[in-house]
Amino acid sequence: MTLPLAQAYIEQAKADYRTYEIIRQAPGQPSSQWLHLLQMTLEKTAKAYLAAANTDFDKLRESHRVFRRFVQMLPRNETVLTALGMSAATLREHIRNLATLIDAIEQLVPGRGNEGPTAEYPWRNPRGGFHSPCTYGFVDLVSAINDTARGRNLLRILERGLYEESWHAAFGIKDNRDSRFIN
Amino acid sequence: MSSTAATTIQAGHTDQTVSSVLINNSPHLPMTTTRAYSVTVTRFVRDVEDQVKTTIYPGQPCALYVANRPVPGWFSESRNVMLSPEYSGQAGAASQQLVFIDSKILRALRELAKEHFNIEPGLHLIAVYSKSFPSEYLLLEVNDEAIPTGSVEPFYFAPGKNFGWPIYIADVTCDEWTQIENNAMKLPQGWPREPMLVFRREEVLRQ
Repeated sequence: MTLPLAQAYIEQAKADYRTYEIIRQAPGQPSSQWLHLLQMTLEKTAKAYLAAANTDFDKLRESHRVFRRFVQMLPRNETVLTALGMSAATLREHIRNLATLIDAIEQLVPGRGNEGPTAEYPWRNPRGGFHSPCTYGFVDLVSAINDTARGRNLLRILERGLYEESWHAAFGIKDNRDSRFIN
Repeated sequence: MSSTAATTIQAGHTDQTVSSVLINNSPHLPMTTTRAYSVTVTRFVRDVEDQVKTTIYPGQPCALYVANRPVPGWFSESRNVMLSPEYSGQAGAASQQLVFIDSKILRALRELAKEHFNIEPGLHLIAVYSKSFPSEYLLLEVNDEAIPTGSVEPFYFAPGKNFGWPIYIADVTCDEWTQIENNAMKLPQGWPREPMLVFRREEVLRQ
């Protein structure tokens, strides 16, 4: 089965998120594993929204920090404000409060100037040796996601982005799958 | 060189009737305050070379926007706008600094810009580009909080209650905007190089 690019991204993001939820709740799993899935969910969700604006496929693959850019658009969208029952000013304040947490998750990707912790590959310790993500605690980040209102708000917004059909329509991710794209 | 003369349009007056427009061809008009006039066209108006992508019929309200910036590329070749009952009528004048916009769209764009300036305190300027006029608009929003990406990657906004046309919105940094103005950074494919309108924060919020 083939899909328009935006839907292809959103479907994959949903699959990543389902796996994230399973692994996060599974006993004994290193936090790096579910953080990696959360980072990928954020990235693919936001890329689905960019793809809906006809962003070129190859360019899209190279785009970065897309979820932060996506959430910055939300206070300007009337459908989003209606769905959340918030004023633009209130939502903007929420988004601003999420900025550092989103940055921390988006920076879990290796490369792009990141020589420090990643959720996927080992990185060099400046004092010698290497760290492995699966033995690194990511204590601050895990605590911010699990134990703070910011973490809960981020996941709420992410879930809206993934599943809220009114948002998909408002940003051009159509739910009515065009038969031309289905083999 | 004098800048603009419009036979029946006076600065500061609105809701006038225009039947012909006269403007010189200077591509170096001084940067002045943006002026948009609400007019009712009494005759058929269209660009004879079909470059303006708009047709305004007699009796249709529209806005006559006098650009406050260098001539848009798609107007810089001094195309003629016909202000005549039919094609065979005489050309009103060269149209270098004139953009005809449906007044409803102009009003809606201005309201949208005002809303965005109110939401985003770090937003300085909104450049509006038009494609397949009047069907789609690209808004580049020069924002202190934009994430620098080195390219223009807009998000699509479907028509809604507050703005009834499809729009694409991208935040850009001040540096990126300078690059776009200098043509060192490209817009997504299919959009004209020059904006149709530029809204500046202080100007829009003052009104």
